[in-house]
Amino acid sequence: MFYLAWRNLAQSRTQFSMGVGGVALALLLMLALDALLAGAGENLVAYINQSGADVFVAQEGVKNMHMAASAITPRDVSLASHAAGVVSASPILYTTSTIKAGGADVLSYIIGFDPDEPLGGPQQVIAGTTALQEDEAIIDETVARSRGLGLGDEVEILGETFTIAGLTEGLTNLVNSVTFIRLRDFQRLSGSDAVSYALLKVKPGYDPGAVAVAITTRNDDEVNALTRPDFAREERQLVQDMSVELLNIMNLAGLLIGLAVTALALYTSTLHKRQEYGVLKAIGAKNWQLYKVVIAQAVLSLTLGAGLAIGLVWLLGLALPLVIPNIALALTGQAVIRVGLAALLIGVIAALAPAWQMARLDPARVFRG
Amino acid sequence: MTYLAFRNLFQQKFRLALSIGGVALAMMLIVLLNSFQSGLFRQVTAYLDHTPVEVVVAQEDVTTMLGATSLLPASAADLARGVPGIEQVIPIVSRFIILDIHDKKVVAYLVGYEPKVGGGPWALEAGRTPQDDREVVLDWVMAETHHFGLGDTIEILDEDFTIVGLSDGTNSWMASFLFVEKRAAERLLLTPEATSFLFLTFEPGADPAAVEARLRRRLREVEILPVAAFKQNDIALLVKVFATPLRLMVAIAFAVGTAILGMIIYTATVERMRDAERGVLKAVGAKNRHLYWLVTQQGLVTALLGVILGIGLAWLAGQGVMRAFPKFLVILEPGFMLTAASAGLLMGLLAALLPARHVSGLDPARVFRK
Amino acid sequence: MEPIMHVQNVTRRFGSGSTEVIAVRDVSLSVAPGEVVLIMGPSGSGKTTLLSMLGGLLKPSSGRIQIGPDEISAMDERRLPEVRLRRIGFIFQDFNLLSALSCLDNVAIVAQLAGLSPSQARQRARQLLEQLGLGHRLSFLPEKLSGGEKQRVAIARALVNRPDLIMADEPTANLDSQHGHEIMRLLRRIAKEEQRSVIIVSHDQRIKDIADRVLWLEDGQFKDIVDRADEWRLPGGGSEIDAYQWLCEKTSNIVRLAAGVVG
Repeated sequence: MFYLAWRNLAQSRTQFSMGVGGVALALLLMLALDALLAGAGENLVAYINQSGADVFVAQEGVKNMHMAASAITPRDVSLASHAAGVVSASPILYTTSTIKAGGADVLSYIIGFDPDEPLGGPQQVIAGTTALQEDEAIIDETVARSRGLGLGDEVEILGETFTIAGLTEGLTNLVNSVTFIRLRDFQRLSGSDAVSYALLKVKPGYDPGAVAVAITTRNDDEVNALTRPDFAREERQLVQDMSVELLNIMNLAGLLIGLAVTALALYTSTLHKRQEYGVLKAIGAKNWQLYKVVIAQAVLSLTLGAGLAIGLVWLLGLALPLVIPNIALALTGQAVIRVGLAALLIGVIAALAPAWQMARLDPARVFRG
Repeated sequence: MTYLAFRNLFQQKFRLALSIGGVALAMMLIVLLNSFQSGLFRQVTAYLDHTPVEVVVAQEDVTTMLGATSLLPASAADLARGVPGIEQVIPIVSRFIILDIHDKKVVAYLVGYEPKVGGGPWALEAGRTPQDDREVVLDWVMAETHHFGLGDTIEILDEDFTIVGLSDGTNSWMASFLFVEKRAAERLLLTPEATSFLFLTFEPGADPAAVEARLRRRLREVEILPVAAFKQNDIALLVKVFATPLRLMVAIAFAVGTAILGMIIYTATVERMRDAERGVLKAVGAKNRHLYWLVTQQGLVTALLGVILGIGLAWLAGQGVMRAFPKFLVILEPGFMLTAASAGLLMGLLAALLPARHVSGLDPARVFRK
Repeated sequence: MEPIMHVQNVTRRFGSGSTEVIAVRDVSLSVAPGEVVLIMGPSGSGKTTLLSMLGGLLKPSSGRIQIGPDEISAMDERRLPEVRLRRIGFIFQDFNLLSALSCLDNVAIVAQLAGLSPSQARQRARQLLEQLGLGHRLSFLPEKLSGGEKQRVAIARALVNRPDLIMADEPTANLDSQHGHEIMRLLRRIAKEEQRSVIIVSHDQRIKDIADRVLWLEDGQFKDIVDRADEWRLPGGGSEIDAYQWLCEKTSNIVRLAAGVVG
């Protein structure tokens, strides 16, 4: 029966491919949005993941970087650096702002770090240096390229002119780039010596989690310490929590459209073959044997459709960044499972109408009067 | 015989319904996505729409409310007040913050304002404005979503605040507004006596250009922009964020609609061809084109019906979404409806291409074989 | 000999009250194993309704139909497909082969429905098709076959589950004279050699001579039952028909040979 289903599908190749294509696209709706959001999440945590820090110290109650306001005092940093198991505590100052590059306003996270400290700045640059001097900056290479700037050119940050001394890549997302300046310059411009976060390196043999807990629970500190994985997770969570309803709506839409396409394809193909199925019934096929054909058809088209959708997302993930800088698509295991379940659900429901058609077929119709 | 004919018609209706339904869903998605965006833009500019302001003063290089943190020196407000031609100066300190409510991350925009001066909520669903630095006004949608009520305590940056009011019109899909007294915000953000933005209004009869010039002389190294430009920049920022994902989703939805239509037209073409086989064909060539035209028309009509149904569904879905999730605002813009309709017809035309090629390539002699 | 099929006072009504139509009226019939029965009659005589009932596709309004031990007229609807599958082989006017499957698979699928494994089914199908002279066409799709070849595939399909009964509806309607004759002779040979009964519904006058019995159905009733087999008997037991058939075969072979030599 599976073989018959396969042969029937192969016979009407054009219709089959359109059906599979339609389902693939519908499932792609679900996958693409999820991949975009996951990609955005990955971008967001790029700085955190690449920082080299084991523990992040923030203001009490703050667990994020993006869209968060965190302020800790130099004393907090000093106390953290002296905590058990901590090798170094590097302070950074962080804000969201606009830099003027090549005459245009570019949204950017501004990170002020101390070049003499082991952590806080970019771990690597693709051009120039991380050892910043006064009034020097490291900007994102796509920003530089899009505005026709290079090492030695000037940009305006926080109202002051800086010289580009280095270029980074991979720390930027669709909206914001990351710009590094010296901590001291940043503090001077903001008129205070508060810092936003402290990045800690933990001695080998010490558990970063335990160190983080110890720093947080110390009474005289008004800080919150998280391990790097925890901090990254909280950051990714931000995107997820913000977009969960949108994702659900998109998933529902994709499911419904996929259902319509599959139901249409199955129903049409069963309609075309009704004479033949009637003959089989007359010859003695039982209803459940015919259902197997419909189910086999559904399984085939949906499996291919789901596979194609996953392939398309993967392709988009490769192709889109070439056209649109800093966009990222990340295919998550969760999304694949969700698509698989959706395909299953679609198959079960879409096969109902054709199954009903089969059951209602009157085998006596095969005899022409 | 009539029983058979009736059954056939019913089967055709069901298939027609599926086809129109599929196209309608694709259309609905396209319209809905665009309507989400329109709604979001409206929400985002709501604060500036309802606050008395003609000119905004921000930190140098800051041209949006949402995109950057802005900090003005403490003296800025007084300096601005001293400028002739300025009627009112509303200072606020504001920033995006993240609240951890029941283990979920909720993005909020904290506004610290002076209740006697302005810059706070413009409509209250319940309660009152804050009267001390431990009170907060929450947006009612956010409150409802997270099960907060008047008198409850909410933790903001590790400090407890009492909810004394629920504001209306202060939420968006991305973030909701929180209003506290300015000194409370200064304390939370560890920025004593700081100001983020100044909202200025002119005295009646004052010359805006002249007043602005005076402002620039008085306040150095700041950003002075008309409020319209500020709002535009906020929208432009959002456009940047959403443009690509939106376009991607719309492109996919368009492709789906085309695929569905393609299936219908192709199937109908093949069917009509087969039915024609059974009749007596004289001028097979002419009949092919005639049939193709009939079938294309069927496809276009289906597309049109799908578009109309899709727009209707989008409106319904929008209402449903807004009722279920009040934080979304869905606005169907008439201008976009026209674009969507054209897209639908384009779908129909594209979808008819493949069957056209199939039909023109059909060997007439094949028609006579069973 | 015990008849393989026993039809007793079968009536079939459609509609009710003033619009009631009696398609088949009080029909009785017995078919012996290996017998070839031809049911003829004008259009609208009820042939199709009768055949549908005999084939277990339609229930009579009253009366009994028995195939072997199974009283199919009283049987639960859900058990009928099994009876049709194993006890009856169907042959249709339009051949009704599955267009997406090869000859081999067209026959094999019916065996698979009866529970044979795919390989067993294919094997049996292959044997049958080879016996019917289609060994070189096994992988062909129906659209590539001639009418006569298609009908032979249909016959193989009807035989694959070794049924007691073969029901053929206008089997020669879409075949030319020569192929029609061939098919009919084939059916008769199968009937006699394998002791399977064949019931044919047709209004093709040309095939009257291969039947053991010709029944005339008009207005739902049998009229003028003619048992041809009683009339003509040759010494040795064969009927005139068999002799006639033999002669025809030999003649057509000579004609074919001559045609081959000339053209």
